[in-house]
Amino acid sequence: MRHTWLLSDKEDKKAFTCLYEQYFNQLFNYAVRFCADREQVKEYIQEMFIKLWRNRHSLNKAANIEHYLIGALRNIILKKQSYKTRFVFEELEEESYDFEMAYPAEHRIIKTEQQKLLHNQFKKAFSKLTPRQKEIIYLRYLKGMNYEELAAIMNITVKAAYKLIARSLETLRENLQGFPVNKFFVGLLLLTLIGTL
Amino acid sequence: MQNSYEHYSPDDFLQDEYFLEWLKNPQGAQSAFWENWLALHPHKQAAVEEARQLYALLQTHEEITPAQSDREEVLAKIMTVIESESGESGSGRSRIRRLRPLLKIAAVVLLVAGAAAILLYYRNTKTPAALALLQTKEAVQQFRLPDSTLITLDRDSRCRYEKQMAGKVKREIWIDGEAFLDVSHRTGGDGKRQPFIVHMNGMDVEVLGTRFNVINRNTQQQIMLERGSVKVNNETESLLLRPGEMAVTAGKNLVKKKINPALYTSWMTGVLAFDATSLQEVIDLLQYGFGYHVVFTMDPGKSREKISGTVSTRNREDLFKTLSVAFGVSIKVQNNTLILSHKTN
Repeated sequence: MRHTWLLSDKEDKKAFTCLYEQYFNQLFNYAVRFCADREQVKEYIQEMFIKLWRNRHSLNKAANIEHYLIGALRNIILKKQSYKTRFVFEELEEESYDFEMAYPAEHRIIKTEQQKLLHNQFKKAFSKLTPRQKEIIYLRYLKGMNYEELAAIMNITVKAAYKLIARSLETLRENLQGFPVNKFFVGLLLLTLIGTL
Repeated sequence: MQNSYEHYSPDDFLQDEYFLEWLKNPQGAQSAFWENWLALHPHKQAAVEEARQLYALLQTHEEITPAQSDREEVLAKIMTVIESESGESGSGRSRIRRLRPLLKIAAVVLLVAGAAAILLYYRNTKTPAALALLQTKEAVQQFRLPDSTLITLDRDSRCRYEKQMAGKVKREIWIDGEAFLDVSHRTGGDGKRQPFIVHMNGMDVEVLGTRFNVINRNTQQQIMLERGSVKVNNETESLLLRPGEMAVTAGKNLVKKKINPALYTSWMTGVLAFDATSLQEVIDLLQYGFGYHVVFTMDPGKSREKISGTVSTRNREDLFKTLSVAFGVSIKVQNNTLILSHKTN
């Protein structure tokens, strides 16, 4: 509904360029979480789009183009990154890739000290997640992927995707404990109650 | 289903599709259900609030915006590879090689005759050059015009341009809606600069290589300059804009205002970045950028209050909510009018 998948119009370079212009920023944003080297990220994106063009005749219609492109890009990155990892460690472990996400409190609309504290605490809690947990949270709650899509992209079963999300949220909230978060929520609740009276 | 929600923890709520729909779109179809459910289960308010807060925190992560030059560089590389591959794709070429000599001659004759016919046709026609149309519906899109000017069209906007514009004395386009233009510097064959003209309702913008934003919607006309210089002409007057200035229509007149250009191009990224931005600047933006009529009922001192931070503009409801919390004002929406007043509680 949101986009016309360019491959319905298979030869059109213009449509291909539009697709590129539309998703470059999002893809860059995603890829840079795996690899801080921006030049390298650019190469990954380049490779992904060239592959997309070459395979344009054999592609099926994707329900969500952005999610499709993210999946394609992820495959390319992990092939390269894991190759590197293998080169160094010889053995590929499950958690052998990095996924970084930053939550900078200072750039957001934060008026009260309390909110600032909450935000910093959240940043800390989030940074304690494993790369896989960070990635699945990113794909689920920022990119809005459903569990089937998560499973396909992360190469796990749907059941495992449910588990990983549950585990990630649990860890995130555990790490937020011991901080006056709950007091803050109670305060917020009181304020809303007072407001409605 | 309703029963099981009673035992939900904040985590459980965050894993519930129906609940997430509501958080994503608080005014949507799910809102009635959840508001009703919360009224019936007041003891779950804390859990819901915590889930909502965690979701809000998750949404604040930093987006890294790559430079435009990066985007252009990668595209150029991709296109080079694609072009070189499509040039080599074999079948067409081998067929030509198999043509018999006689056919070859015939082909050449036809080609020359065709070229001559086209040339004659163009010499004899004085009708205006064909106009091409660029149109957007639900997404912001970027296009490159034949003279290599980069145009970003807002949702539901149109741009008409002359197909032959690159070779003309004047480059001319017609905008309906909102657009941001990065006009390329060009000199014609005679070494003179080739002006670029944007036609709008009742006025024109004359440009020589610059970056600026235009809005042409019904009675709302606005030109905002980021870099370079432009001249705005309507029937009666002419205004010269410097970077960081904006021209808007006020009745039949043109009015010049000083503004922060970054605020007026947020529709391209969907993100507004405030940096010690005053309420007055935000009111101007809502009026001249978003096209609302704003009624402000507080003392003038309030309008000097400032905020910093970034906020998404994709959902207007959310934007107003954020602004109302950040400035501590109440924002009421009535059709196209925004009423800003003191918080009543």
